[in-house]
Amino acid sequence: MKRRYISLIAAALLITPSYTMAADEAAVTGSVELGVRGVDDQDNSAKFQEYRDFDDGLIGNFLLDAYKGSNYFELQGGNIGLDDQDYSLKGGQYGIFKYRLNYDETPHNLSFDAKTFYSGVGTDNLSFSGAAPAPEANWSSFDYSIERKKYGGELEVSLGTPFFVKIGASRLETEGVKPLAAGDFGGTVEMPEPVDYQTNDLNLMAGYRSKTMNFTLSGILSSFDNDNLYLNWENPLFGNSELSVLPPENNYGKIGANLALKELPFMSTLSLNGSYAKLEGDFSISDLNLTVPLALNRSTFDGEIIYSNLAAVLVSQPTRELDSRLYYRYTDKENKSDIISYDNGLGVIESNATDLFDYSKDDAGIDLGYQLPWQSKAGIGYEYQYVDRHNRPDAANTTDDTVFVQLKNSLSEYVTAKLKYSHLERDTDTDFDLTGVTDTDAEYIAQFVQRFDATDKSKDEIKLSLEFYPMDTLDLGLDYSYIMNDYDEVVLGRTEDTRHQVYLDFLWHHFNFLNLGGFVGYETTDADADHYNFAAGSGVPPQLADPTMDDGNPLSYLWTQEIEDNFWTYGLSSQIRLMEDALKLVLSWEYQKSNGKSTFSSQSATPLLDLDAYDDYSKKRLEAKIVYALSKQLDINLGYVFEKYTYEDLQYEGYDYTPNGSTYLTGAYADHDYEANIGYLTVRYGF
Amino acid sequence: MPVCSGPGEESMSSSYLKRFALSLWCVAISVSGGGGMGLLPVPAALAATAGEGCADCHQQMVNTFDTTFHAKIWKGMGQQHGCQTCHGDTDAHVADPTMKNVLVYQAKGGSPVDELSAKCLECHGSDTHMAMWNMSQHSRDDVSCFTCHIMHATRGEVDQPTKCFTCHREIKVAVNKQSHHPIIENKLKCTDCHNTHGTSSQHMIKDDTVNQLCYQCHAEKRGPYVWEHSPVEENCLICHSPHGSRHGKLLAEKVPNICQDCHDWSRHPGTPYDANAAFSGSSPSNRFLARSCLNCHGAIHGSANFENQGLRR
Repeated sequence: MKRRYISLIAAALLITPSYTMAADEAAVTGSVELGVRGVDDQDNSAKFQEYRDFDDGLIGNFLLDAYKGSNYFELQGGNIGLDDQDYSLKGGQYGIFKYRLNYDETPHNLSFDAKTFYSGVGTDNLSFSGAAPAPEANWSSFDYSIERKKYGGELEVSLGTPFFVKIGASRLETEGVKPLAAGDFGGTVEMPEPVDYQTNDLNLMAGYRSKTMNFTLSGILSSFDNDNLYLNWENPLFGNSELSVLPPENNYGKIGANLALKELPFMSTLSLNGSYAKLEGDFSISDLNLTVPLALNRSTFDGEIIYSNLAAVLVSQPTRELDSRLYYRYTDKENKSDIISYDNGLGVIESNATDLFDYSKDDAGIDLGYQLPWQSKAGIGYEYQYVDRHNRPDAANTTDDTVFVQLKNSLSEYVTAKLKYSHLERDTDTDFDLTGVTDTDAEYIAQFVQRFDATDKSKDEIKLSLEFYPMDTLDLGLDYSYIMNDYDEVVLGRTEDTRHQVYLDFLWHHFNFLNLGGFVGYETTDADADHYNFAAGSGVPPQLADPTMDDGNPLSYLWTQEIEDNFWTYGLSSQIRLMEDALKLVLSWEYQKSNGKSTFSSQSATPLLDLDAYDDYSKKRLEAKIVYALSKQLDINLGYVFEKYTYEDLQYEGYDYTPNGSTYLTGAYADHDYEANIGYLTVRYGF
Repeated sequence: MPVCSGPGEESMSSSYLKRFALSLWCVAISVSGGGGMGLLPVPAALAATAGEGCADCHQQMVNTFDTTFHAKIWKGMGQQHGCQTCHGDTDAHVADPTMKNVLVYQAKGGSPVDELSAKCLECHGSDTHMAMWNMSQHSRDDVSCFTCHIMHATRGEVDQPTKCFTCHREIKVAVNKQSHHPIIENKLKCTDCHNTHGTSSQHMIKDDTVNQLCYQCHAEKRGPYVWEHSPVEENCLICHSPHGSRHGKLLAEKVPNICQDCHDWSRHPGTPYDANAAFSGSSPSNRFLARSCLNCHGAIHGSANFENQGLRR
């Protein structure tokens, strides 16, 4: 038996060469596609290659499937040799075991040709020679780019029994440079942050499965390592050395259990799920090369966060007409990290005791569905959610009550329609301690700031969905949704946001000659917010941190902002068979346009200028491809792709690396626009 | 059909690719016991009953049946199946060839979805990933197996994300926006984050909470931090739209607005940043231009610094 298990593992990993062959028939199919590609991208924009490696040269991919008896083997690879290449191998023996190996590279290009006066790009030490940075013309260029390489495997063994064991391991290596900035009232400096992460995961699962019961036990061990725990950098504004702390290393472990009981009375299924996870990260002040502050209470930080989750779901269908779902979920995040305290140099003790965040959440609900006459189904539901937060005085707890009603009809063979309305009412309790705080203190404002993620609100949502089948050859679909959040108790913060979203698509085919598809999407968002500009206690009379009072100082004033986002997109794609089984033309066109705008009103004597270019962009893509089949096994693909992206935004228009004497930028995310032409010719051999 | 032949036997194919494939393949087979040495009893060759009588009307389906994923598996496992296995008793259908007398896997005019799902679950009901199918939102929305899976496909995999987009139109639009996860680049699949067959979590995500799911790939955001940013710790989706956004970094709203919606405070958090604060404005402000708030608060997800630097170091 031991030998068999070893053989199974060896087979899965393909590490034992063997040429022992059986005489049974094996079915082998697959394809290999090889070719050349030419890319014309004069703008050298990272946005064009954000997650892709588009270079001139050879391109290829392959696919290989083999089946013999109860064994199977599936191998595939894409973008061979490029920075976005991927390979996967799956195989096994049906009912006995299965395995998977995979390797994937994904680039994330952020900005090309960024500039900096620092030397040491990519390291944890950024410096420059002399008393001040070199003139901009002498800055060196570099790319903000990250490459992720992930590889791993998984083996599942069940040996033809209801029991199974699964083990998997993977490693993710992330390397490159991304933008980091640090600043204060003296100015700001943007710089390249080194990225050199490794994440190692081990997954284990064992269980039992049958038609009436599934039970699984699972565990995860994951470690995150960072080769650079801090970044030393020379501050050109003050001529001193500074240090930025980078993501800390951590270890994460999780165990979980799931039980699903099926075919219970009333056609019920019950699922019980529970998990416990612990996140740990320990480091000392010397690990981070930090200066020890005054009266520091401890020189090491032991971070520990516990996640606990429980869930129970019961679905039933007591009658043919009625179905129900009852559920309860409990989530708890407990922060058991060390309290750090120190003297901030002004004789004030600072501590993270009021910063470490915990929360727990109870979530329970019931959904009912009932089959009505005329192929209709009605649904109603109610959900209760209670969130209790620690160290979030503006939203110490929130209670959500949500109801929904839904109606679906498919009486006509040609139309299926669904309409759903839901309403949420959120009630939030605060827990401010403003003892000793007066309206000339900045902290006084806290009681007037309500945050959209957790404040009182009512939310209405309407969704309409239609599927049309007017002809055998034509499918049409339409979705519309309206979402409105009314933050009715808000003094400062977002007061209301409204969204409309419409999507339409179709698919039409004309005999075996033409497939034509298209889609249209339109989204609009309108968000309003109220704000208060003030400098607590300054001026005469002193500015007050109370937006409901007139402090008599014209420098403190209320202002409002309305943000409108409009987005629309459409696309068409077609596949035309010019010569049956021999010549095919594929054409597609996609367009999207985003238009944002921010308008202000203000009680200040100085009017505010609207922002009329706010994440405005357009994106176009055209693809034309001819596929010519020389034979059943061999075809030629000749294609052309045109892409154009233009971006307009006042935060980037007129980009300046040193816009004032106290700001040094590098050009991060400033190389948006591109226009690219891609041509390719490939030969695909299928077997 | 190519033959997995031994040395000295008749050449299996003139294709080097086939030789390479079969070499790899035979490695796997030989050490695992081969088809005839598996732990499951393998009966005699599958009788060619599939499609008898059906070919009169559905010739193409029957002719290509052996190339389907289902047929390969059944044949491999020595199980005898035909059209009736999935389509039910076809006698009535033969007598009265309408779609009412047989299980038809299609949206328009097809059989009731609960009957179709039940038929698939006869074989797949014990699969681990199907354990919570009955409680999935898909099941409750009358989505059936055939909605996503092509029963006669030659491979078992669903064409993601294309198939998902046929219903989730808003997601199709989102993932094509300027800021998106690499889904359309085929580097992420819908099923990397969602178990489309059902979970006990919200939105059928493949972990208990949103943050625990995100941390699977973004382990550098896990912490634990000395100084935290509470919404970050509660739910990544407060600030990010995971499928795509018209704003950079998958943000649900643009900086500085997404920050100012929560942070109204003395001096710069409560200051309005209008067009004057832009590069081209009368008084460019490093609190607005380029990356705005992130120009100073670079540790927005949390900081391991021992001193409180306002998430700036």
